[in-house]
Amino acid sequence: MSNNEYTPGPGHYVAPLEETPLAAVDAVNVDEKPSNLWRDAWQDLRGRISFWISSVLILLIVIVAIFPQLFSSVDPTKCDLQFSNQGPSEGHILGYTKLGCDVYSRIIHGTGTSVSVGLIVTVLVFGLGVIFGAIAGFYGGWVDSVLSRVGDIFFSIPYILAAIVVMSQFKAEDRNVWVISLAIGLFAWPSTARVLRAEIIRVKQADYITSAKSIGLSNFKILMRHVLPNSIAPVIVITTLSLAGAIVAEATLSYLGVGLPSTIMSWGNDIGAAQDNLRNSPMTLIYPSIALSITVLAFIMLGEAVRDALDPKARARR
Amino acid sequence: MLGFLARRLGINALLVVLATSLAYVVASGVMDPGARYRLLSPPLSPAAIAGKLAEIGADPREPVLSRLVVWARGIIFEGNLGRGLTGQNITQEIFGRAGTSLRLLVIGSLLAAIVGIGLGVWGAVRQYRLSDQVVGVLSFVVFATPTFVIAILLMIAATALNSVLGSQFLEFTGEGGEAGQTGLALVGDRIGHLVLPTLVLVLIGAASYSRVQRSAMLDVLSAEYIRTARAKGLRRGQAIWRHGVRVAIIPMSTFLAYSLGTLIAGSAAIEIVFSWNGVGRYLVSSIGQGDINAIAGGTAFISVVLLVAASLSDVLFGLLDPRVRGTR
Repeated sequence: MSNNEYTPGPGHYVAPLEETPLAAVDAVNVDEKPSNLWRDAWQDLRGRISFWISSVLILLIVIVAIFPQLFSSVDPTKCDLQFSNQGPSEGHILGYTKLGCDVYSRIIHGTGTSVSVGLIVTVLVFGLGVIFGAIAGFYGGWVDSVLSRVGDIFFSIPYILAAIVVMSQFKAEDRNVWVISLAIGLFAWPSTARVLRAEIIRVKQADYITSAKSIGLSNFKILMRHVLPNSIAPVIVITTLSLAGAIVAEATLSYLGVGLPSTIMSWGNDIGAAQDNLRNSPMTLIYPSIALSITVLAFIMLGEAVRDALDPKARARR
Repeated sequence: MLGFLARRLGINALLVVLATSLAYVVASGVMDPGARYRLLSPPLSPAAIAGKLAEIGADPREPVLSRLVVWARGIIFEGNLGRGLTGQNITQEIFGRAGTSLRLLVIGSLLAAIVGIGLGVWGAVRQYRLSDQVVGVLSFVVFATPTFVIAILLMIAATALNSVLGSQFLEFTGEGGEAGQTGLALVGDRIGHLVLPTLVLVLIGAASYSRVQRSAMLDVLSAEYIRTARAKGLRRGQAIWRHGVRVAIIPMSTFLAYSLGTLIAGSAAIEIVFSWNGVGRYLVSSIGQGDINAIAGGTAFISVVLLVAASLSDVLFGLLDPRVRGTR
């Protein structure tokens, strides 16, 4: 509309800068911190209910894992056969196992095992995955071909089966949290490496990498300063998922009898022990399964929330 | 296109060879097949044990690689996977069980793919509505539960259902019962026993497929060509079906092949829980016994299944995505 009213002439008036609203729009607030992917993601995360629910749950689970005594005063190793398979009673809200141990107390004391297996495997998978994925993706060429094929071979053997082979080599008394974590972690890293490799290949073509090269930065510096920080986001997501997967894998191995020995309390052992007793008291199997599912679910929820927060496209869709 | 497929087939075949050799070498390196003889009383001499093991090609005095070469020769020239610890013919053991495993795996993974893709597309179209949220939460719950727990829970549910109905409505132990030995009765009996194990496999498969398909579909739905399709007069359903699903299904074709490994591991757990005499259960029990030839043979079977699946997904990928045919 205003275009039609515009008439060129000598008295052409330009508003002084202070009067136009544009000044406020154009003004650069020098004090404000520059926004980046991580700040945006945090802004987005803060508004998500699923992020808060899962974080609180994980915090609770970690506290239970570190201080089980706070949550259960019953000694989980003090079992009395006269209570075998008895239902809930006062002080024993979830009843007893076949051997007369307190189900609730065993679940509480088994938390630490699952959480530590999850954490150790995650550190292993993250470390191996980032090293292999970064080298393969960044250096490319024959290094990439060799590393990717190595990953493919590990990938084509289901890692539960590989872990069974490794675990069956140890006598029951030699198996502990470290051994089982190593067995799982050594075969679970290829998916992390694959994700990082694909992301690095994408990032490598960006203009800021070319300009970093042109000002003479060394390859290693470019990798550490520019490529890795810009391609790590999907790896963080898959890492939370691999934590969940490791907890499930530990339970599966213990259930198959090649996991932790029965002297170490773990949900997988409890589920495996309860299976022989399924017809008499199915609940002794279901309770530890619920504990396992809630823990795994918390980590998956966190991973999903972080994934959505880190993906600008998903953020725009909301 | 043909060149692309030949190349992929070559790479996949190489992977089978490498994975099987790796399984053989690792198993030979860490396992002690002679353990069963050492427990005998009176004890056998080490030479006698080694001689016994040499009969099945697991002589500990031979270097691992030369044993591997002998074993591989047997496969290539005689199609023979060697002998197990108790002298059983592993080729027969595995092929006898292959039908059982494949019946579960093929039906289960196909149904899982159909259900997963369907749910994923449906969830993406109805993003953030109640039905989408419910499907999402349910698939996370399935994710978060180990396969064997799902299998056991379904067994408990089936037992409860049977006792309510007062009949063996759902059969779940073993792969066949007395109900039928011939003809239609046999088929019906087999299908009856397939229901629960297949359901477990479909659940774990569909849970992950639906999430991947949903996010691929969401990416596509916000693309401009969908808007163009609507603008040129297609109905919403037509635009989603012709331009959305067909594009969003491309990344799924590779994901399906890669996730089959998880399903195979899952079906091993299912075979154990439901007492199916399949390859997965055989593999797990031979690992327990330290039977090197059986482990490598079982791994070879799994790798071949993965190879076939990966090649099929390459074909699918090439058919769906014209860009693939030209490059690489």
